[in-house]
Amino acid sequence: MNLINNNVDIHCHVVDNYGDAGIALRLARSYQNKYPLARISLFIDDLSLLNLLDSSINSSLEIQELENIVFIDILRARMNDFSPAPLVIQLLETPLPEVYRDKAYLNSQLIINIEGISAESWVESVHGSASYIDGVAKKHFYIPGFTEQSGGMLINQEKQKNKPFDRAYFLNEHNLAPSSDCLVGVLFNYGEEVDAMINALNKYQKKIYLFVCGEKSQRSLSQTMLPEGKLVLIYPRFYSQLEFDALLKIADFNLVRGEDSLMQAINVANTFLWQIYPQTDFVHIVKLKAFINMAEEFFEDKELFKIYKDLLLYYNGISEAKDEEIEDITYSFMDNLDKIRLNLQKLRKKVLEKGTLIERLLKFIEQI
Amino acid sequence: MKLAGEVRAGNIIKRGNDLFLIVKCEYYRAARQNAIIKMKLKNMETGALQETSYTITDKLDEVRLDVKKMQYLYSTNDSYAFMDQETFDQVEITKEDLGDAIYFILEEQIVDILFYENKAVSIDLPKSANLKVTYTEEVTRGDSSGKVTKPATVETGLEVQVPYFIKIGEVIIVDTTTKEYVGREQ
Repeated sequence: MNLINNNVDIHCHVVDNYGDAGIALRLARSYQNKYPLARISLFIDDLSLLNLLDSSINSSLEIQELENIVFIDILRARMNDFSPAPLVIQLLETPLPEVYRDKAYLNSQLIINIEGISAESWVESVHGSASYIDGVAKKHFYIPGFTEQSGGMLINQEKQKNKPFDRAYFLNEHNLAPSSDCLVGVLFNYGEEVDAMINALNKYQKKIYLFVCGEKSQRSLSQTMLPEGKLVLIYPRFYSQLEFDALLKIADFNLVRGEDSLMQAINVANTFLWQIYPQTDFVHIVKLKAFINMAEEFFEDKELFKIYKDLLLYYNGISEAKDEEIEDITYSFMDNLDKIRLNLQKLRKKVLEKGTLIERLLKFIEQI
Repeated sequence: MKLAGEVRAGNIIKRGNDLFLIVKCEYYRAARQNAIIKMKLKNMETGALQETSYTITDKLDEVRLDVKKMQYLYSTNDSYAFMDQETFDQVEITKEDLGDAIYFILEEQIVDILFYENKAVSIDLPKSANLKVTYTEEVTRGDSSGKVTKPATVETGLEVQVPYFIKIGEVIIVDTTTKEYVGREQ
């Protein structure tokens, strides 16, 4: 399909946490990176979250333009004022406001619904499938995933601009100095209790600076009483998206949650564990198992994979191992950080072989 | 209007001026509480088949056709036979037109048959069906960490993901739209 221009409207409904807004912002920036002269508009119903992710975005403004992206507070803007772009993107089935939707169905060329990333096998059969709308525009589903036949992974490729986001940047803020015999880790989860793992990290042979990010992790961990040990818990301020991406990059291991952080953790290619967003009816467990099965392909050493898998299950709150076993698994995980990283790097290479989400999306549009 | 998440194989929807029989609904759980339904549709006029995906909240124009209560008698390789309970007239519907509805009907069961221009075209399924499990592996919690569901085959041949505690011979309730386990018959 030849779009009449490269302008795009991205619609995002924030359900909870930071992932929805984070992905929307990342998508807008990735698109803007590809088409610097295009009009990129991000319609969102919670600007305050965008302000957390990038403080230059003013949450009190109904409409604002920053670095060639127009941010629109959908709760305050009059949607009748907007002419939909040729390409309209709905993130995670964000409903389009009625007056806007009617115009988009008649005047836009293409509406894409970008879903959540999944390693499940159905992704390939649904990715790209056509929907039907009563209008002129065509509508398609776009499903991010880890295989060639899926929509790929959304990552930022823009370079860090002015600030050197190195270890010193993060540690100095807490009056700590980087040192070669210390490890740096990140914990950003949904507040699931991980005491056995934390206890093991505290007893580990090396000193660990663990950045506990997000209020759920911070709240959960603040209840944990730790005896004096090797683990230093750091409760940082809320990092911007750029800073958080950089933190994942400089860390030795990342214990992350949700979709956006998973994709960035894969991209920075350090050892990570992933806590999946909890859903009802075991749906997230099915998705987690699909991810585990997919990841296994990249581990030649099955003993090593077992360590990784066992700790991943524990991190997701579905392990039946006893605390002592988890401590042992955690030691093995920490002893093998480098080896695990090498396997996860193969995963990254494979996923990005056919391009990032934005590159694949543009190819997909060409081929419709 | 009906939500896409409420329609099932056997329903008829209208798009523009065309009527489409829903032959198959594949239900996929996406992120959050979202879901995508991939439908196989048959154009009632031309017979052409096509696939279309919807989110569960998409609104579809469902068409109500004439309905008769009939008893499912038997099936052949290609079709299913039903008998009118009052006139004893028999009608046949092709397996292709019934699509996934075949997984929710049992011999001798009374079902709602939909008629379009005096021709039986499909079954109006209830929201759920009670089906006996004919095969599933025994799984003890703890056999494999994180395993909370397992596949089970029911008496119509449909495979359903069920909780690990379900055993052969139990009757389970299956959602006829999503083909997912809903619960156990009490």
